[in-house]
Amino acid sequence: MTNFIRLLKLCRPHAGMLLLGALLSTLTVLANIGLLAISGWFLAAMAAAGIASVHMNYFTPAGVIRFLAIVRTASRYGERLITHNATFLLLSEIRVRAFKTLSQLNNVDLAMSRSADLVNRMQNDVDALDAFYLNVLLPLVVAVFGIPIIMLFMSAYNPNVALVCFTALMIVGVIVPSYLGAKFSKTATHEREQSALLRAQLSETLKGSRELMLYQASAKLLATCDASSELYNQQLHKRHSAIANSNGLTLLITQLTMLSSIVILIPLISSNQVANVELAMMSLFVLASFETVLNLPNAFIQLPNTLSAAARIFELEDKLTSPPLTAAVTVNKQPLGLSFSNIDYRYNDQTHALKKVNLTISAKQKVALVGPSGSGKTTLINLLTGLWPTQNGQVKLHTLEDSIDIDTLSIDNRFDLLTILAQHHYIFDGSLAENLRYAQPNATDDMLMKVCEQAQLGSWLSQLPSGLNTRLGTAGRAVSQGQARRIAIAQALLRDSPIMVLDEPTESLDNHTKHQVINTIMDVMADKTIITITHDPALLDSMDKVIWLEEGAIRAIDSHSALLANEVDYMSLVTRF
Amino acid sequence: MTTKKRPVRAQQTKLRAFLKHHSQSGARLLKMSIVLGTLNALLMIASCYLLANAAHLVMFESKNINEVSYLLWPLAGLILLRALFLALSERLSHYAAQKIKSSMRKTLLAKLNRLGPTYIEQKGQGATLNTLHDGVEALHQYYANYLPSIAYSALIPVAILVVIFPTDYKAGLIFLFTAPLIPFFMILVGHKAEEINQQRWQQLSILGNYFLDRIQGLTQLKLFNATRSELTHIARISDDFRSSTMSVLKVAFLSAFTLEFFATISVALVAVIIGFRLFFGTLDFATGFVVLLLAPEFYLPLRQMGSHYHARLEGISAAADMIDIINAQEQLPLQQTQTVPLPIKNISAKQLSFLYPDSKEGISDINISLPEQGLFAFVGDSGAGKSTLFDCLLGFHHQANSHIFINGNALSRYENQSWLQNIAWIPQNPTLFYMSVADNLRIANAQATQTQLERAAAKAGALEFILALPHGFDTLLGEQGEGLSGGQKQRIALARAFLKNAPILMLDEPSAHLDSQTEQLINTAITDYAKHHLVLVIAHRLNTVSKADKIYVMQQGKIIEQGSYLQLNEKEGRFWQLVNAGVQHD
Repeated sequence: MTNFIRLLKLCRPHAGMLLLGALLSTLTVLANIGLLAISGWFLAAMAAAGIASVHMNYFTPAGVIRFLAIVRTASRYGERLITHNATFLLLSEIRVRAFKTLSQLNNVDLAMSRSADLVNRMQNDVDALDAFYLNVLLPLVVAVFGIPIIMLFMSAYNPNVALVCFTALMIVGVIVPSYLGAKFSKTATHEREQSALLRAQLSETLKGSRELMLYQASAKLLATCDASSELYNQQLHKRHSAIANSNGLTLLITQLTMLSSIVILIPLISSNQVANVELAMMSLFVLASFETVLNLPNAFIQLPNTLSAAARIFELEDKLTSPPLTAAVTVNKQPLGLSFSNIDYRYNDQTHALKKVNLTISAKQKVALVGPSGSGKTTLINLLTGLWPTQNGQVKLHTLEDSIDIDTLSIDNRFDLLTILAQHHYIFDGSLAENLRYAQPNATDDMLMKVCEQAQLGSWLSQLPSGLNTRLGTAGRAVSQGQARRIAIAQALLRDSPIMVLDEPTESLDNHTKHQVINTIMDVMADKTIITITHDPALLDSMDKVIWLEEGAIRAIDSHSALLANEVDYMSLVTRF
Repeated sequence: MTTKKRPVRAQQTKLRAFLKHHSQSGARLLKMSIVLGTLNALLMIASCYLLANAAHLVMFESKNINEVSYLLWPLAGLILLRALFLALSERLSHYAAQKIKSSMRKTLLAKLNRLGPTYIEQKGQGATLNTLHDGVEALHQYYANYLPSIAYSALIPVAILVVIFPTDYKAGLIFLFTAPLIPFFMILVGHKAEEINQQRWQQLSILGNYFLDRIQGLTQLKLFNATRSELTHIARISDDFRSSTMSVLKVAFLSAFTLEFFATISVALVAVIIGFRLFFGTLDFATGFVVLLLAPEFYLPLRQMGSHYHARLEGISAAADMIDIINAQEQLPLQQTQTVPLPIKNISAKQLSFLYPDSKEGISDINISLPEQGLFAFVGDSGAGKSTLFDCLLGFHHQANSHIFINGNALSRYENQSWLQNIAWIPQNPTLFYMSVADNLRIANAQATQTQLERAAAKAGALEFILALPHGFDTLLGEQGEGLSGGQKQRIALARAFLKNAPILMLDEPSAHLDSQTEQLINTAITDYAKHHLVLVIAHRLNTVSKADKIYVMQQGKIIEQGSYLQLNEKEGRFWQLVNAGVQHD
């Protein structure tokens, strides 16, 4: 319930628009019910007048029918426009808010170690919230406004019919769907699991198709996939059957309610307590009144889903603590050294990613981190960014006269001083220029062209018909791994920060490009402190010193040539074809 | 993210035919569902008659409840039957859709299996997976809702006409003439809407995906300290998305508006005409009421068909990917029955060339001869043709089989399976399947005993950590061996290969940096195996090549150097360059 109210609060900025949509929606439903009821009455009255050969004012009811028909059609059009527009307004509200939350949380709180999981969950949750107004709130409001009005009219004619009708409306609109909703939220977990299992098995079968072919085990895995597919379908069938059953039940209740209203009215007509023409009207009125709950089942079925999505998003919001120290120290851009002292880090309880690491890098020094995968190189960088808060130990920045704990800096200041070229670099959906400007929003086109040239993207860029405006990302032009790497380097070159962290900058580059890029880096970043993660001998050779990590601890620190000469293991670590 | 183009009209016809063709497995159920749905509609017509007559008798013939009960009881019965038929019909149509989906997935998988790994890689594993999973699921609504709705839109109005005409042909005529108006306007407006949709589809999906794209790159944005400026972007893009979508929706709503307008006008027309005929006594109330009750039902199926438009489009779009797979050309090897003679004493390639279609990459003029045992390493830059050569040796490219010889006889003479039986293979990133460790190993040899499993694991240096897992060999491996380190995955793959105990082991060494202890373990295991078997390695590590009996250096699809480690090093050629890249910096 609290989540529901929090969701409603989210709607507040657009409350006017949302309410107008709901009113028009209710108007549409009421006009339609009125239209049917009055048509029934009109026919009956005309017939009665014809039989009695009396004159009848048919202009008024015919006029009302025409009027309601127009109101219904027009208000439906308006309602759709307004409710959809309102939905999009709300969608923007929700997305901006969710993004704000995500951007302020650190990666540990976000459990970023499984980022695919986070993104998928976010996608589903935000989608579920996007549908909140149209699929959940709107039907509820229509029912809340519509049902009392209908009941008022109906009970004026006959309270018994109204009572029966009200009960039926509640069963069809609330009880059955809430039961279904509760049931679905239980089976939804199974459904998701089955779906994920099927996906995993299909994925393995595709990925391992060579191995399967070689081991002649394809048939076995295909059978597993088919069985999973079958199981998933059976799980889906539970949901589909329940919906089919409830649709049957809805029809049964709706029609039986109409029938019982006739049965209630017939004796009253026989005893002349009720005008005969009202039978036709009431039967249609009762039938049509179910339109007020037409979309309620869907609302009640989606409600648990929406609420749990909201709960997850609010849970993230609640993790936001008060903003960090405002009176933070500010360090100006200047040559900076840094030191890690007594750093311990673990991602989970069992294994240490870093154990008592101590190291110092002086200003403008160029160092490399090497080591097998899992040795703690990336963790060290993660701690530097602050997106993974330190658990034990300190990271300090050293100016000429002072040393400052990096965690006392504001985020803005920290990232002014620090540039990270990540190994898993993301290329956004957008133009090349837009992608580059993420690194430096004020960069001119000339600056962009220059860094592209420096990052050895020049010849590629000159071939692109739209140049810097070439669209990249999922919907745009596909770039090779080498091009992606060079785009990342161009971004790094745009940044003017004293500390540069380059995670595998030369990966997937051909030999010639690699040397050009290394030269550029050493040239442009001559007065910067560079930390690079690499196993590339050419790049290692350009570094002042190499820090060799193994299992979260420092194994050796020395120059590349010295390590090469003295350590056999180092030789085989950095020699790759 | 669906940002791909939607099929145009001409393709749609073809795709619909494809979907129809593949509906066989559920066709009977679907027909039954439609029959039940139509029966439901017929009962609906009958119940309208009962209701109208009962109302007429009570209202104008002064009958009391007992005198009309003979109409009301059957009406109750009809209602019960209708509810039953409706539920059954829907269940059946969903069931049919499930059967069709299952069989479609099965067909696609079987076809992909025949097309082989190269096809999947060309098409992209991710894209293929999406077709198999989400794509097939997207067919559900198409079969369960859209197809039946077409049938109903043809059957139910006709049924109503058939009943109305004998009762009152004038009302029937109104129905008959107004009915085509709906599909006519639907097509007219729908056409326009779809055109606009087509134009904006790409743009809309990009805008729609903007948010998720930025979430995916969230860490990147944080590293650039760009999250705050991105917030304003997201707000602006959301607004762009809103106005663009609204302009498409306006047209769609206008089409719905037109439809509704005509349906309403038609019903109103019917009502007014009937009203006056009732007034002048040329029609009895029962008939008039029936017509009024049936009028909305007459237009309903046509309108419902419109509401399944989305299901139709989704199904058709998904079918576009499937038809590509189903229609792909299989490159079947010549059907041979001869099995590879054992023992294999020699494998050779003579003037072996293979180029991938539509690209210049591949291998050309490879001549090698390999004995029955020893360690042979293949090195070279990525794209030098190492993997292609391995694929050819594995017999994956049937065209090349006549240039590969086993004991002097061309590979093309032998049955493909009997050749694969002699090879174990480990890719760079071995696939661990979602099953227990034991079952993962048994992929290589389904009949292996526990002792054999343990022996193979021990040889691969994997026994110790497997036994330390929570359930030992019975531990279920998660998606892609989650929870295991890269080195552990490698060793399980190695154990799998050893379990097959094939005369030939081919492996693509991981280029990732494993810790030195693991590298040592794997290395020893492989060199030991090479003492009695033939081991071919795409090598990335110094330790491996230094132990190889012979090294083949590849460049641009050709073998440019070969010899032992020492020979090649002395030569100071390409191999020397590769090895000494770390020492020598120019």
